[in-house]
Amino acid sequence: MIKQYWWKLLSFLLLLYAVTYGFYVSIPETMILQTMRNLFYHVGMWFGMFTMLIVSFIFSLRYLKGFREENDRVAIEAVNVALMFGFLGIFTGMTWANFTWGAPWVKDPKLNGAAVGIVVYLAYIILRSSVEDRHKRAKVSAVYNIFAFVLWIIFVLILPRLAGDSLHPATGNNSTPVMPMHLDPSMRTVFYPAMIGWILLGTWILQVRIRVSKLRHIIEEN
Amino acid sequence: METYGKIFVVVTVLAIILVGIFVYLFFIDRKIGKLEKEIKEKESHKQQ
Repeated sequence: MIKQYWWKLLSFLLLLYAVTYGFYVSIPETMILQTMRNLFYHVGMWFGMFTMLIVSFIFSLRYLKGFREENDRVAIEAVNVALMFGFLGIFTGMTWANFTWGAPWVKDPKLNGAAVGIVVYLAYIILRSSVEDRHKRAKVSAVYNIFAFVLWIIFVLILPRLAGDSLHPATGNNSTPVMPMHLDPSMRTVFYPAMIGWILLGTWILQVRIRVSKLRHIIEEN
Repeated sequence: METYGKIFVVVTVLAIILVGIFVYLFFIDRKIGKLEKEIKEKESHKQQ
């Protein structure tokens, strides 16, 4: 029991800590006032998404090495969880942006990059559903997934940084000190545990999805 | 803490929701575990 569940319990404890102490920890005085605390929750969605995309990328590579169906299963389920995080990230970001930047959607390379990144992965889902043959679908989507991951990195992590005038911190010439490495020390005590908590929660959901998918496969075989 | 004006009520609500979601996820997890066991047993019966 403990062996199976310890990291799930850890995820729970870390997130419980994040949604309680996250409201009491002292934050630096900035123009965005108390909304700074969104960093613990909104950014967690992107950490969760990115982790799932890395998992998916790795398992697509592994699939192409031996064409084993388990690897393809992990790849697709990880993208599903990543998209859940992605949409939550977009919607929480819009809520936050409405206050800090005056509108839910502003001209910002990071926002548009994230939107394109999500579309790239929606295309992955559509691509999968359009190929009937199981093995063909796995192969084609694994190759696409590798491209998708590279595109995602370019659109979300590289281009906004090159764009020069992003509203997001630590991109271009915006030097608002809210990136982890120059985050206020007191905020760090919540930020890092929260990120680990979100990532572990995503991993749990991923595990559940993979297990359901395996069960479905067994039932279909019989 | 004065400046936070009853924020603890919101924090408590959030904590309850979080506990609820995790308990729910835990039960789903266990349900799948039971299904896995059942199917495993069926498979081993077949082989015999």
